[in-house]
Amino acid sequence: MMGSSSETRAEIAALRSWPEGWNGYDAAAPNPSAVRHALSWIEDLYEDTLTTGRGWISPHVVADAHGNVVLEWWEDRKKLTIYVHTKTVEYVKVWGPDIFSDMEDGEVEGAEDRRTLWNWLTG
Amino acid sequence: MELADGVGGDHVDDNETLYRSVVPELWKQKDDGEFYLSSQAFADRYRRPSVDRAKLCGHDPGYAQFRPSDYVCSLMAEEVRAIDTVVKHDKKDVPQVRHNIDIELVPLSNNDAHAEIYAVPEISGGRIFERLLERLAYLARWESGFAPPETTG
Repeated sequence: MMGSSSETRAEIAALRSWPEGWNGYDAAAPNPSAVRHALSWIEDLYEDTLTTGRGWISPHVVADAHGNVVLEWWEDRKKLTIYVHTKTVEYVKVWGPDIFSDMEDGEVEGAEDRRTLWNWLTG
Repeated sequence: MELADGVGGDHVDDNETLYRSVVPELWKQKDDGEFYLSSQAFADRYRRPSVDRAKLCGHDPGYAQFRPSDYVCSLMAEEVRAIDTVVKHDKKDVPQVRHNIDIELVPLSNNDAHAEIYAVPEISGGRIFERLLERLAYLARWESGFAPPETTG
């Protein structure tokens, strides 16, 4: 799932065309502000990956039911889900099925948090 | 422990299959050929993901589809109810609230099979629901004949 960052940016931008109820249930249409934020955030993440030996790994790009952008990566037994809101970014790390002992969540508050998550995913 | 009971005593049995429609955007196939179901497959604005009870729609996954292009996955009610670690912690990691997960009958005028997965007490905030979404995606199985196409070659 290497892909390219430009492909990822195109997929994020395409979220703008998703309508209300895009999932068949009641999901909100992706918020344009969240899409803009995600485009900026993914660019920052791509810049981070240039300094690692692993290179870029394309996420799965989707939205949540509230209109936020969701980015998902699956690497071996690890999974990283990033929620990009209009102003904040949150994460859920998953390394097993148990909600309490195999998952962690939090807010991505800056570059250091972003790099730490990427290193966890790719390490 | 089953928490929800419907009119006339109907309730969702533990051995019931629950269908969920999945648009193609909600799954991904990696280079290794594995399929991955997005955690957003069960996303819901009100934290009550809708499902259709297989036994009330002739065990036909097609009943759950909104569009012919939709895939269908399923959950077992017993496995949903067995999710017992939905716990909200405070900033010091002290458990505050333990949520039970159950399935409630919510028949609609155009869908007798409709039900909703919900938490007791209700999940009011934080990222607990997002963790639950990850678990539901982990438990989900594709329904035969309604799964994404396999890779060729």
